Formats: sequence, C-alpha cells, structure tokens
Amino acid sequence: MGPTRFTAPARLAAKPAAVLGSVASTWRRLPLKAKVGVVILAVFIVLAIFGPALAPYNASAITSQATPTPPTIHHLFGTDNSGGDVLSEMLVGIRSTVEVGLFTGVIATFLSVLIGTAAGYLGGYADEGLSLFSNVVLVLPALPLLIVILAYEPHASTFATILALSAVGWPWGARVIRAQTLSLRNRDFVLAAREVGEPAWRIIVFELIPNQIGLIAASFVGTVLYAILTSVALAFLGLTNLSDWSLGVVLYWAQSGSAVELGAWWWYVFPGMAVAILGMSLVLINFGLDELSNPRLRSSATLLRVGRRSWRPTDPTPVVRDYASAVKP
Amino acid sequence: MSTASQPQWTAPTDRRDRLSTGPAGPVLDIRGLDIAYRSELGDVRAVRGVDLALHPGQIVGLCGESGCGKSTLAYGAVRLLRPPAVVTGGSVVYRGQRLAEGHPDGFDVLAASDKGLKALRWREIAIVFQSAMNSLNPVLRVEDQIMDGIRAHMRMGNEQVHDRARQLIEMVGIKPERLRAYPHELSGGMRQRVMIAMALAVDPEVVIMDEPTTGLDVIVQKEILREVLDLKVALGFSVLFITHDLSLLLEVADQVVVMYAGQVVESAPTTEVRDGGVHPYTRGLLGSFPRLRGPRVQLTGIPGTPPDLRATFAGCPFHSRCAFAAGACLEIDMALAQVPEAAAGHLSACPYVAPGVPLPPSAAAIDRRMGIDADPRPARSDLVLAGVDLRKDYGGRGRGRGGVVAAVKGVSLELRRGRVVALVGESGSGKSTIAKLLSGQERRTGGQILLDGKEIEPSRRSVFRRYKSDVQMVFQDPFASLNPLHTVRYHLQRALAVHSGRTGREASIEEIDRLLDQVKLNPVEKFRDAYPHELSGGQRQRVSIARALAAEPRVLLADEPVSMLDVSIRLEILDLIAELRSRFELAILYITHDIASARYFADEILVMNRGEIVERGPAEQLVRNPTHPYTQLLIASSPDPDTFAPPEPAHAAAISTSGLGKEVASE
Repeated sequence: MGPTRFTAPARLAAKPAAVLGSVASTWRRLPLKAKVGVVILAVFIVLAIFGPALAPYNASAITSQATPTPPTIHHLFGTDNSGGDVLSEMLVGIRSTVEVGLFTGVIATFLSVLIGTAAGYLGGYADEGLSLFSNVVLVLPALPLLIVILAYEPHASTFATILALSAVGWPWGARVIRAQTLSLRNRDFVLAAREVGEPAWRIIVFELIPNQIGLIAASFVGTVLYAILTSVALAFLGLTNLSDWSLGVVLYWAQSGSAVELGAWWWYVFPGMAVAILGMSLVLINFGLDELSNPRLRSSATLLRVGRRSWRPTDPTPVVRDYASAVKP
Repeated sequence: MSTASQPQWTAPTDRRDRLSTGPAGPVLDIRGLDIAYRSELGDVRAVRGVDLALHPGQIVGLCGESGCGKSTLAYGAVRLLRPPAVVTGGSVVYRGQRLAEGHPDGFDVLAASDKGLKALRWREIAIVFQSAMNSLNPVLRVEDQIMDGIRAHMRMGNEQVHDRARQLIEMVGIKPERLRAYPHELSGGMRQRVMIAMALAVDPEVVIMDEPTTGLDVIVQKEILREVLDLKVALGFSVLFITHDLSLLLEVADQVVVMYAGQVVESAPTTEVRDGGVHPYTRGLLGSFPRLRGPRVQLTGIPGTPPDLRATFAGCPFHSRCAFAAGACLEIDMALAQVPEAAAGHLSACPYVAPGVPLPPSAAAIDRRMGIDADPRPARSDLVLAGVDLRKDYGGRGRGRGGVVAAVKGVSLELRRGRVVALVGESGSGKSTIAKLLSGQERRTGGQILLDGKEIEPSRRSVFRRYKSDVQMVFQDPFASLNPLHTVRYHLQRALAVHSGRTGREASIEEIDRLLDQVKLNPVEKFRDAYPHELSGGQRQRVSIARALAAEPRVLLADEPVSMLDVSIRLEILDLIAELRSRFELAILYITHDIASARYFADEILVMNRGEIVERGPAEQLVRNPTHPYTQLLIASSPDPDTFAPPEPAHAAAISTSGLGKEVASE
C-alpha cells in the first residue's frame, strides 16, 4: 500500500488511528473562531448529557416559598417564584433544547440534500416540481404555521417539535444545494462520470455530494441554530409540554411569573444568556467553516507579516531586501 | 468621420526623435530581480535574479511555460503583486521622458512610495490584462470605463475627455458608436481592443501586455497583433509582451527572453531565435510547435515536468529534462553569457551547447507517429461511426419564436478504423457541438448517427451505456475532468466496473495497472493511489485517456485534448494517442483550433466554419493547397515559427496618415 492519506473517507474506516489523525489535522486547520465555537458547543453537549445528573436540586420540586430569591451561595442562579432552583432547571432543560436543535438539523439537512441535489441534477420536470414544492414551503409563514401545528396538540412532545421544525426548515438549504449542484453538474468530471456510464444515483452520491460537503455542513449548522431559536420561541409561547424542562420553558415560566415586574432578573437573564451563547457558538462555527472552505476569507496574518510591518492586500508589492532575516527572527 | 479626425494621437515629437536616434538606454531596466511567494509549505521563489532591459520603441517578448515566473516578473516589476508576494532583491529603474527632470538617475520603482507608484502606473507604464472579459466592468459602458481612466490621470474638461475616448476607440479600429456598448455586447477581439485603447489612454511610454491574445481565435489574434505593431510605430511606446507561445513572439518581438523555473535561460534578438536558438530549452520549445509551412520536420517536445520552485536547486534547473545534460550541469551558475559566434546581445545561460549543434538522437525518440514520415493509413479501412447531415439548433423553444441558433448545419463525417480525422475550426464554429452529438451528451435536431452502418440514437437512455462501450470521449480540461476527491484508482475502477456490466464489482489491481501502463504512467505504484491534485496536467490527461480506454472503445472523440497543456507536454500526449490509435486500431475524431497540429496528427482534415464544413481533404494536401478562402485565411493567420513577419513600415505609415476610422471587417 502507498503512504497513508488522511483525506480518503473509505480508508479511514479501517484505521481508528488515522481517524484520530484526521480529526487532529482538521482541528489544526480550523480558524480560531471555529475553535471557540466548537469548545462552547462541546460544553453544551456535555451539559445536555450529564446536566440532569449534575443538577443540585430537583428541578420540578415545589416548596412553600412564594417569591423568587436572588442568587445566593445555595442557589447560584437564584430561584423562581415557587422556590425552584433556576440553575437546576437550566441544567435539566439544556438537554431537550440541544436535542431539538441537533435532531432537527440532521433531518432537515438530510431532506435539503436529497431534494436539492435531486432537483439540481435531474433537471427538467423533476427540477420544476421539486423547486416549486420547496418554494411553496419556503414562503409559508413558518412561525404562525408552527404555532398552528403545535397548538393542535397542546402538550406537544419534543419529538413532535422536531418533526414540525424539520418540515418547515429544509427549503433554504435545498435551494442553496440545488444552486451548487447546478454549477457542479456541468463540470467536466460529472460529464466524464456520465461518459463512463455511471447511473444517476452514483453520480449524485459519489461525485456531487462529496464535492459540496462544506456547504452541507454550513447548512446543517445554520439549521441547528434555526431549530434552537425557534424551539425556544415556541416554548416561550407555551406551545410545548410545559412539564418537560427546556431553556424555552424556563423563560416561559419567568414570563408568566412576572419576573420582569418583580425585578427577578436572574430568572430570565441566565437562561436567556445560555440560549445566546449556544447560538453564538453555532454562528462562530459557521463563520469558521466558511473561512475553511474559502481561503480568501482567511486573513492569514502570519503570511502578511514581513519585516517590521504587516501588509494590507491593497499595498504595493512589499520590498524586503534582508528577506531571510526578516522572515525568520 | 475619418477625414474629420486629426492625427493628434501620434507621439510627441521629442519622443519620436529619441526613437529615430536609436536606443539611448533602456526605458525599463530590471536587474537581478528576486520575487518570492510566502507560503505555509515553504516559500516559492518564483523569480530568481532576472535581468531584463526594455529599450524605447522595442517589443521585448517574455516567454515560458506556465509557472515559469513570466507574469510574476512583469507585475512584480511595477509592484502590482499582492502580498504574500514579496520582492526580495534586485532593482527596477524606469527612465521615462516625463520623469527625467525629477529623477535624473531614473525612477527607482522598488523604493517608490504609494503616491509615486500611482503616478507611474498607467500614466507611464500601462498594462493590458490577459482576460478582457474579466478586466472590463460588465455594468459600465465602454465609454465610461475609458473616461474613468483618463480622468484619474489627466486634468481635462468633460468635452476633452469625451473627444479623447472617441479618438482612442477609433485608433484601435472600433466604430465610435460602439462606445455606448456594454462589454458583453462586444466580441472577444473587440473587448481586447478596448483594453488596448484604455492602456494607451494617457499616452504611456511602456505597455505591458500579458497574454493579450490568448483565448482569441487565430484570425482575430493576427489582426490585433497587427494593430499593436502599427500603434507602436505611430505612438512610439515600448512593449513588454508576455506569452506562452514562442511562435507568436517570433512574429512580433524585437527581442525574445525565454524563462524557465524563474530564471532567464536565453535572451536574444528575434532573428537569432528564429534560426533555432541556443539553449536546449528554447530549442525544445521551438521543436514542440508543429509547422504549417514547408516540409514536415521532426518534432521533439520536452520530456518531464518543471521543477518545484520551493526547492533550491544546484546548477541548471533544466538539466533533468535536457537532451544534452551532463554532470557539469549541476555546477553551472546560470549566469547569462554572450553566445560565441552569434549576434551581439544573444545571451544564453547554457555554456555547453553551441549554436547549430544537432540534438542528440535521444531527444527525437519521443516521436514515432508525429514525425516526418507519419505513414498514411489506408484510406479505405472499415467504417465505424458516421454522422450524416447532422444538425443541431439551440434555443427557440416554443412555437413561432425566433432566437433559434443553428450551431451545426448539416455536417457529415466518417470515422474509420485506425484513422484520425481532425475537425478544425474557431470557437463558435460548432466543432464541440459535434463531439457532444456523437458522444450522446446532447440530442441532435436532425440527421443520422450510424454505428457500423446501423442508425442509433446515443442520447437515449436505454442505448447510452451500450453505445459507450464503443464510443468514448477525452475531455479538454484535465484539471476539471477528474473528481478532485477521488484517487486515480477510483476513477479507473469505476470505468472498468461499469464497462464489465456489474457496477458493484471491484476491478482488480492488474486491470488498473494494465490501463496505467497503456498510457505510460510508470511506475504504476506511484500513480495508482494518487489524487488528481498530486499530478501534473499531462499526467491527468493520461489518466483521463486511460479511463476512456477502460471501456475498450473502437472510437475515441478527443475534444481539444491538449489545448490546456503546456507546449512541451502537448506532443507527448498527442504521441500517446497516436500510438494507441495504431495499437488498438482506434477511430479518432481530433477536434482542435490548431490546424498545424492537425497536419501532423491527422490523416484527414475537415475545416469547419459557422456550423458547416467548408473544406475537407487529406491532411498534408489540404494544408499545402487550401482552396477555400476561409481555410486560406486560417492558415495565413496561424503563427508559425518559420514565418517571420518583418515590420511593414509602408502599412504603418498608411495608417497614421490616412485615417483612424479603420473598421475591422471580420467583426
């Protein structure tokens, strides 16, 4: 066998060490933004897995207390108006929020890849039909529609939320992927695969999809973000099973418990911040993926530093006569 | 309109005087220039200690293959390269008339400030960029773009700027009415003329032309070069002409500079190069061009690939590809030295090879079929694939609407076993459409396709795969025709599996190695698991050919298989196809814009213009005695190392005196 390569997915399956190496090398290439995003997201995923076990109090316990208390050493994030520990409620609730985000991301991205590549590659009536379908779904007012769907079942489970969000969340990705497929399908290597006699499904799966993996990843991250924000909004409106904790449900109770009027800022600021930071981590990852796939966005500060100054792209060609010493200090 | 124009655009008299008194000193003097691109994988030293002098009124041609540093040199010299490019040494001095007072010792470009460079660029040194399509702003009228350039450098009233734009556009042979056009409304040749007009807008002393005619058809190319020569005589600017096409330089340049791996290997007056050149690389380049005129001569080509410019190499970078290579080549310092017994100013970096020394026989070994006596195939071998009265219309869907473009208007051709038919035409002639019809990628509008005498509709889904086992295609761009994410093995394995009829089958290593061996990718172990980006253009094209061969076809459609490759590589690939043709008795359709290569490579030539075959005949006969006017024009316009066009002072004088409203008939 030739030397080990870290880019071929097929060969990686056989070699766990190579997988680790590949992960490590990808991590090294990630821009700082994306690294920060990945770390934050990882913290949230760990909390989603172990959060309920870490919660210091029973999140749903009800005490005789009637007013929210500010943060103390016993209740770091304070309590709500029935004495529930806000930190515990959040730790329990992160799981369902993250769950909704990731599962919706997987389902909606799968749908958008399937419909986008099929429409783009097959063309003709298939394209007309699939494009029409996605455009119709796209112009449906998503939030009111979700409210209607979820209000139909008043105590909608997490599962129902995921399905509903996926059903309206795929068309953006599908449109982007269709456009990319349209430009890829006239590339010579796709024509050459047709010339070889490859069937359409093989061309889609082995030639087209691997070439837009960056786009698909970005679309996935974007969809997860959409799902998290929308699910929090829906829960805030009470359109979910309120006996299951999620970040949105904490906010719902804060709102219905008049947290703002009572001046109980800890009741809504901490869960609100958690949603914002989770969203930010996804945005950072998306920017990072963008830079990774489009090197022109990378500032590559190290390369532009020559001599004592760094050069802007609009500067004239730098002239550095003692180049060897200027580059290697 | 032409009578009203005054020859205001002729050069200031002082500059003409300077020209008539002969070269005083170079107007652009580059010495020992070093340019590097910073990269995480090690710096690329793209230009290494290059000397180049451009004298007033001269055209210096800078030539070399892709990646040799010719464009880097030119853009670096005016400091237009963006970081991470860095000039790491040398000097660039500009000695223009207008700057002579402020800078008696010349204008030091490398020490200049931002502001100083602004005064230098365009006003003193203008650039005609390679791709006129991308260099013009698509949302601005041509007029506005020209006027913007003038306003940026000259203080002029609005009326004067308008007049100037008018003059300029007439000067390059476009009707002033076209000033109101947007770039997309102009043909490629016209856009290039607009670029030239813009470059000349503020009367620069030096014009850098970066591949100004690459991508244009030969007939338009010839007209534009003529235009540049005439304007140069009338306006007295100097030109640094960058191209990969040495044969073009032999027609236009006064001095030819050949670069290889970032260094100048030969610098000589054009006549000297025309007589054969001295440096082995120059000779290799000259030997790579198929000739159109005179008897067929032995073509040589250059084996191998250029070195990686990240490395520091000892001695001559060309030695690994050189037919004369000896041990001492590793120790020479690549300094240019006057060639003994040659004209003054003829410099070569190779101290070992003297002019006129014949190539050692090993250099000619590349050539089997493409040589002096390529044996003519028997004319009446078996007919495999035929197109009868093929037609293809584009657009105009729906009833009664116009806008139908007939790309192919009734073309008939016959492909016979073991014979190469060349389809020659310019862009837009419909030649690639014929390849698409014959390969089944597109459905024809009319006519028949006959395989073994039976009519067939290759674009029909049920027929397509069976048809593919007989008719395969090689694509033009080897950089686009392989999926960057798959290995060579994957590409060949798929082709073999599909051909065997069991798409899930894993082809054996032996089969893959056999294919790689057929296209001479040896040792096969090295290429089997390589990804496309690890291969050179020539190697990729070999993989592409191997993939076509996997189906064991009887017909090979080759659509410009070498036009994206460097000159020195082209011969090897054509030679390979020629060898496969004899070995497997393939019927080959060779589609090309280059009639000279068709002369060497094909048995029969079909000349195509505007969707029709205008002339057909045995290759040699057709090239020597073209009868159709279009074929004659095509052959007369093709650059050829053997035709050196002397400057035509009579023609130029006629232009500068008699008028500016010259229109170009073909556009």
